[in-house]
Amino acid sequence: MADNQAYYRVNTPGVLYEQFDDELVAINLDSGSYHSLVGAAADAFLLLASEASIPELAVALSRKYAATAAQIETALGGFADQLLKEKLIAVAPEPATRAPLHLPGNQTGVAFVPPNVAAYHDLQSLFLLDPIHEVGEQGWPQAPSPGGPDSAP
Amino acid sequence: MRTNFVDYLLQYFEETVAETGACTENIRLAERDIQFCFAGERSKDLMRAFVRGNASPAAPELRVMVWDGQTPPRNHVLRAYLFTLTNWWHEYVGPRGHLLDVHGPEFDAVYVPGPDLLYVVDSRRNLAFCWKREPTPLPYWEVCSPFRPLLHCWMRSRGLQFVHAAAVGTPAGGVLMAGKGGSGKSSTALACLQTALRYLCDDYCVIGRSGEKDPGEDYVAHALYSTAKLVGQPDLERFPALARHVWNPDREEDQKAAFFLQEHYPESFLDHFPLRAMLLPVVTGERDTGFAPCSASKALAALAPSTLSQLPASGADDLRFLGQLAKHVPAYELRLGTDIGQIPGVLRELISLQAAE
Repeated sequence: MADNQAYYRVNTPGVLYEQFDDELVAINLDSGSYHSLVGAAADAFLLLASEASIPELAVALSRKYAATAAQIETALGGFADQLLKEKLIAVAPEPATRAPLHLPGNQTGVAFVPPNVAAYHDLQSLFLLDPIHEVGEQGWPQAPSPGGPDSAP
Repeated sequence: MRTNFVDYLLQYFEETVAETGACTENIRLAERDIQFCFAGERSKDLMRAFVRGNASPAAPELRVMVWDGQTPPRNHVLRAYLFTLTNWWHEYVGPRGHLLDVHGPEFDAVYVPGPDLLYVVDSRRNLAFCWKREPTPLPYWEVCSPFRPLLHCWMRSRGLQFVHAAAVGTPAGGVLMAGKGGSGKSSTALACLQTALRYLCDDYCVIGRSGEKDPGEDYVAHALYSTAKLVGQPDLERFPALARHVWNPDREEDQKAAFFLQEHYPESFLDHFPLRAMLLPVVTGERDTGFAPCSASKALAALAPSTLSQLPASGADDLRFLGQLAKHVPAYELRLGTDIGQIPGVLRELISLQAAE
C-alpha cells in the first residue's frame, strides 16, 4: 500500500519511458511489462522522475486539473499502488529542501480523470532471461506458447 | 579481466586461425562495410542469411571474428573464465543477457545460453567477436538472423537502430510494420513479393537517419537479412509459390518454415528506402484491407517492447531512438483483410499519400 508520508521515484534504470503529447509509454525491462499512462497519470509519472510524495503530487496536479488537492490525493493512492505493484516506482529517501514541484506549461482547469495504469504483460516471456528457469536446450529467448495481450487497466 | 578481455579474445582467435586457417567475407550492411573473419569453414554458412550488397574489401569499418571453442585458449586466465562462464553462466549473466563483470562502457559483452554464444563488441576499436562453445549446429533462429546482438551493439554506436519489424516499399519510400510475432508482419511483407513493391525484411532491419532533411523526413530503413519465416501450414498454403523454397523442410513442430528469399527472388529485394510511415498490422477477418491513422504512442508500444525484448543489452538509448522515430514518422493501423491480393495496392496507395505530403 502506498504511504502518504513516503517519497517515491521512478524505478530506474530498469524502467524506461517516453512521453508523447498526452500519453506516456513506460517499459519495465526488469519485469518485461509495458504500460500506457494518459493525462494526469502521465503528469504524475513525470513528476515522480524527480522524486515526490503523494501530497506533493496532488498539489502540483491541482494547479492544472479541475479538482482540489485533497480530491486528487485520494485518487493518487490507488494509482501509486498500481505503480508499486508494477514496480514502476520505488520508495525513495526524502529529498533535500527544494522548490515545490511544477508541471511544465501553464494549463489550468483541465478535467480531472483519476489516474490509471494500463499494463501489458504479453511480451513478458520474451523479455526476460530467467537464468535459472527459462532457458532450455534451444537457447534464449525461448518463450512459452504465445498468449494474448492481458491489458489490465 | 575487463581490461584485457578484448586483447585476450583477439589473441585466442589468432591462435585458432593458426591451426584452422581463416576465410573472410566482406559485406555491406546499412551502408557500412563489415568484414567477417571465420576460423575454418564451419560457420561460413551463416552469411547466407544476409542481404548481399556490394562491399568494398579495402577498409571495413568493423571486423568480426567468428570461431568456436574446439581448441581452448592458451591464455590460462581466459581459459578459466570461459570455462566457468559456460558452465555456471547463470552466475555471470544479467537478466538482459549481458556479462555482469565484463559488459560496460568500454565494450558490450553478451552471452546467449543454449547455443552457448558469446558476443563481444569493442565499438571504439571496431572489433567484434562471436565465439561458440562447441562446434555444433546453431538453432534455426540464429541461422536466419545471425549475429543479431553483435550488430545491434555496434550499429547503435554508429547512430543506427536495430528494430524488430517488417518493411516493404520502393526506392522512393516504404513502410515499416511493427508488432509482436503473429500480428501479420511477415504475411504482409510476403504478400508484396513479385509485385510493384519490393521487399526489405520480414523480421529485422536497421533504421538510420540521412541527416539531410527535417527529422520527419530523413529516417531510412536498411535491409539486413534476406530471410523470411512462416509459422505453420496455413501460412504456407497462403503462399504456395514459396513452399518449394523452404530451407528447413524437416523442421521440428515448433519451428517456423524459413526461406532465404534473395536466393530465389533477387529482383524483389531493396537495400534501403526513405521511411514514409509506420504500420501496425491487425488481422480483421474481413475481406478488404484498409488503413487508419493511429497515435505515435501506440506505434511506440508496438515497436519498442518487441524490439527491446529481442535484443540483449538493449536499454534507454534504444528506447530514445524508437521514441523519436515514433514521434516523427506517421503511424497507421493496417487493417489486414483476407484478400491478400489487395495488400500491395493498399500499401502503395499509403506510400504515395505520404510521399506527396
